[in-house]
Amino acid sequence: MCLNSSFVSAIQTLHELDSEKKEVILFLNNQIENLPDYIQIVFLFATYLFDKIFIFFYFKPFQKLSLSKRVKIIVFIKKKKIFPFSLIIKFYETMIILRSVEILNEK
Amino acid sequence: MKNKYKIIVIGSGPGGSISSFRLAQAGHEVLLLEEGGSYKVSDRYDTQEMTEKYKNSGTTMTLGRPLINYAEGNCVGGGSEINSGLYHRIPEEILSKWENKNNLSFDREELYKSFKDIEDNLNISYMPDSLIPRASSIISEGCEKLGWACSEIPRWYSYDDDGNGTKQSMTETYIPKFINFGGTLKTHTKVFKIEKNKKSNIIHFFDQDKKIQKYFCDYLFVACGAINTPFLLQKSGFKSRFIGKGLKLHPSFKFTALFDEKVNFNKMGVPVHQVKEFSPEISIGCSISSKQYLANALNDTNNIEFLKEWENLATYYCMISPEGSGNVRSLKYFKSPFVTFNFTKKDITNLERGINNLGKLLFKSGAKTLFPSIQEPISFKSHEDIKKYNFKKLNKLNLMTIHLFSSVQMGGARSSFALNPEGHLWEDDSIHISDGSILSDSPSVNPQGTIMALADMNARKFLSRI
Repeated sequence: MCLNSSFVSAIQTLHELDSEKKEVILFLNNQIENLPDYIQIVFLFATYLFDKIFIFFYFKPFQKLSLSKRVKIIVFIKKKKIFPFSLIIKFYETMIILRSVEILNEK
Repeated sequence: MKNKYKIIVIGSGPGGSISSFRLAQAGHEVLLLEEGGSYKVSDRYDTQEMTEKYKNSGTTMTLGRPLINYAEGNCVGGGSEINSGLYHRIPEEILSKWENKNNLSFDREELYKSFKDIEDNLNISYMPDSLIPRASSIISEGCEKLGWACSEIPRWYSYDDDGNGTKQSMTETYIPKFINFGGTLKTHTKVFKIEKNKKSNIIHFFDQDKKIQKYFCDYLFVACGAINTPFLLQKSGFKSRFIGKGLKLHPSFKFTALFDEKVNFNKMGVPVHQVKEFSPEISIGCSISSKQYLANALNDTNNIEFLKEWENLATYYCMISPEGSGNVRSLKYFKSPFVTFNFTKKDITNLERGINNLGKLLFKSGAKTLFPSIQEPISFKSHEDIKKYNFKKLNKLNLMTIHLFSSVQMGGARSSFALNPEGHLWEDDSIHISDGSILSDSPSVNPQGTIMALADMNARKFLSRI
């Protein structure tokens, strides 16, 4: 499972958004690809760190953790506002909610 | 491939479109270049529009405290394809301030001739009463109770007999006219450098297949918007230190309001009332309130569960005309412009005043709960709650803007401004700028009408000169 896909399932579960995951991942990938280059570099580096940091706690990167654990981590980081990971989560949440709600509304 | 033109215009937004049209109408050979693609006009405000029509798919932001998200068009028609279509002439008092600040003298007769022409071509008109959404009229009623000035803002829209509206963006108006006069439009053309030789301007660009190509022209009009025009000039090595300085924008703060009655419906589009009681510093109005935007607004404050009441929810903004300014810079090795913006103390006070007044108005209009665009779990049940909150902690606020300007200003003194009063570079009279960059300061209202009028007036001055 790739990192973006692991974020999509966790954030959709957190917000009870039962929409087509594939479409959301496509949109998310496009948004990351189109970030201004200097923001993209920082973003990709920070998300790489975010993914790997959980190896120290759970012996697995974020994307390999169970869905419930990923949801708990997202809620924890949002609550504690752990910089810069809270900003990464904010970006993922914004994009995933935007597209997921839109798909649900189109139905 | 034909590669030599008398005039090339880079950017097909409102400024570039009207300039191209005016130059082609006068019988000149004009090539209009656009980085994005050509799409049918719509006002869906959805993710497909974001990916197709927005620069960087809408992921751009200014750096500073706080970050401000901004959106720019990146398609044929530019900003006119993605904005709300609300039209204003620049207030006379603001125009006079600009003249003093930048040592300019606008010929009122010529300027208002341009405004009139634009209003006729874009069919500036009021929304039929039957179509005005409740989310809009409800703030008009709130203003009445408070004794505040509020008015319906006309838009560039045409309506058929069934009341279906079509936005009169550039793809519906000036661009077809430009092509009818023999102009050539080329899409998916990303210009990355302007160079000079003794005879002409050389335009370096990536074509649709990402191959590097060149065009040559005698005269060049740059209209890539307030961020990308200074960026292109800097990347091309133009020396003026005023290029990219003095960027202005209209930062907006939002409340999502929950009412007891239905105010929203699917495809509601853009509400049309604006509160003018605090103009020119502060403007208040209603935003796009589609379900997906409401979801995100509610999630800021961890209140997404209220989305099930979406028909009773609408989002409102207060927008300030700031005293502070920003910069656009090109950094070595990076392909995107680096944009910064800083508030002054007065801006922070005005923003807080705007937020307070917006809250007061919404509660007076019947709102039961307000969800602010703040990154923390909070909601307000009364105006008193809002007054107690410290909005001066800027890094908590989620601000955004779609109005950007003044990054390559016109001015009467070569020692202080990048452009002369006719809109060409002081250092090169064959290169003109025709977009929001040329504005002297915030127009305090939606800027498209003013940008177009100034671009048109400058194009006519250019025609009388060559």
